[in-house]
Amino acid sequence: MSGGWVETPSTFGREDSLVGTLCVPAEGADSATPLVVFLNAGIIHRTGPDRLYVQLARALARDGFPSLRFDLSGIGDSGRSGASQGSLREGVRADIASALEFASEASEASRFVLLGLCSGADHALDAGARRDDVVGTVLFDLNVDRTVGYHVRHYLRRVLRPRIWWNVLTGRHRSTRALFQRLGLGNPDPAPQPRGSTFATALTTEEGEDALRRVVGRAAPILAVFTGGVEYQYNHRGQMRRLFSDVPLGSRLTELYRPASDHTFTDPEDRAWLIRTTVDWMTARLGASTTPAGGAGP
Amino acid sequence: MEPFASGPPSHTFQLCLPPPPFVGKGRRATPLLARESNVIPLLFGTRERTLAGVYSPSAEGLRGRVVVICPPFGGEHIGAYRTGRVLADRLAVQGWDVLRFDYYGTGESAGEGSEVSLAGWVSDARTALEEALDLSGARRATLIGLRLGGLVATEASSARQVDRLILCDPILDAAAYEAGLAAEAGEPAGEEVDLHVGGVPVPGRFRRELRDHTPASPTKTPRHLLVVHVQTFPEPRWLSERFEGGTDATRRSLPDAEPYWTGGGEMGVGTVPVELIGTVVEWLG
Repeated sequence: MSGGWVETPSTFGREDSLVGTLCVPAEGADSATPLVVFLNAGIIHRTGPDRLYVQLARALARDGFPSLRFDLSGIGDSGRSGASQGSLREGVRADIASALEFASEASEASRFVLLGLCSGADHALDAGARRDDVVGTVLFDLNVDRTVGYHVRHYLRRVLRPRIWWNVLTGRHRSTRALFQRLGLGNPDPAPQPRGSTFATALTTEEGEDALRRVVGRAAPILAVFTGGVEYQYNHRGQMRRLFSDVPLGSRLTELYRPASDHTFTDPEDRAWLIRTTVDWMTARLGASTTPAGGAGP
Repeated sequence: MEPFASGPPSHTFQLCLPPPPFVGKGRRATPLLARESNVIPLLFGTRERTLAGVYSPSAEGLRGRVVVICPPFGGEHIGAYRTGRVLADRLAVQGWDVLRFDYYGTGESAGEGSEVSLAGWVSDARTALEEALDLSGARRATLIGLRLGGLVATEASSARQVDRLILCDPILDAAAYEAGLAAEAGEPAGEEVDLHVGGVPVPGRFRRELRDHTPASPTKTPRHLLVVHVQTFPEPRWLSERFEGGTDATRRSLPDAEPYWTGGGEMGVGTVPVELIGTVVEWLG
């Protein structure tokens, strides 16, 4: 299928405080076709970084998939939420529930795919694990912990760089400076910065494992794409599978690595690749001709 | 398969009518409640050039005062998006209806990034102006332009319905701006090749428009003018003449404020410039 699309902006949720845009195929969509819900990347509004979500939503619609891109409470055009007195994560879950309820009423969709970049991926995995009507998740640069394999690759690459050895020999390298400090020959380094995600809603490895277990338990497929833009936490294909090796991910997880791409897919080739990959994966795993649980795919 | 290789998409937008308080062109049945979340996302323009906007009705009902905000371009558009939202909220509380919108080929509007055009955006601003006047029932409007939106607003302000113009850190030297974009992309200025700056397409035709741009005539901009800026910028002659001419032209510099269109925040989202917004709201009264 390759057709056009129809977009409708709306408000919804408690006091109509959430703002979103429904994008559906011009030919209409089968109610069995899952509707993709885009979740904000950080605090960028619903267009996504440099319109990534707009482009992806329209490409999906051309191939038959409806979608909703919306702003979480307090982001973009959505108002601050009074819906939840709980944690930020509970507020996000409540917003996503409102979005799915609205999308269901507006489009008759009964199955959903949650898609997000960065913190949006964290939210997609967290909320998707808690709902039976979420039949798939698409995660771009999910926040993950480093593994032994990560560290081995990280340090091997550094060891092979002549510049590193030059810094060691000239006293500029951190380890050399540390040695000098122990010998009382240098000033102490500033306190190390905390590592990991800057987002308060990022999942811990244990939480991520629990979420993945629930998703896999429902046989819902997962597309996880990582970029070189998050090299500080991910540096090889298979790291996510290894990190969550206790979860029987099997063929449910499609894990891809695009090391040349930056975090927001600013290069046109990277962006085109991401859009094509996502649409193809959706078609193979969750298209109208597949079983509701998502059959074998790429 | 290239995602966009199959030619221009056949697309339509569902006409998004405002909710019940609006009963027709510019007529409102009941006053609207004042609260932050009271925004109306809408589509307007033509089928061929559909524009997306967000309308913030005045908190005090129909008062016939309306503002149209022309946004920045590219990464600055994303960076300053929340600033536009907060500015609209503050103005709505003060009794102004406010329409924010996306130019064709940007944000939520139709079109591809490869189709952007300065002349087209000036036309879009005038379309937004007409829409805002229709929705608000006002006969006159204020145009606010942020960054490159300042250039667009200046051009569009020659429309007779515009009685005030506010420029926030405007980019009025379009040729220098084009050179800056080229430098950011690592390309020489003055070429007509298509660029990508960050993830934003900058078509060669658009670059030429910027380079060839001639400043608006001072006689065609509204009598009431406010320029507010947190960074210094090259002031074109027409603007200097306005300030020297004894007309109602005001310049406010806020050197302690941070650039709100870039930088500091997460993923390029700027911080909201409270002082600048306060200056605009106070000047409008």
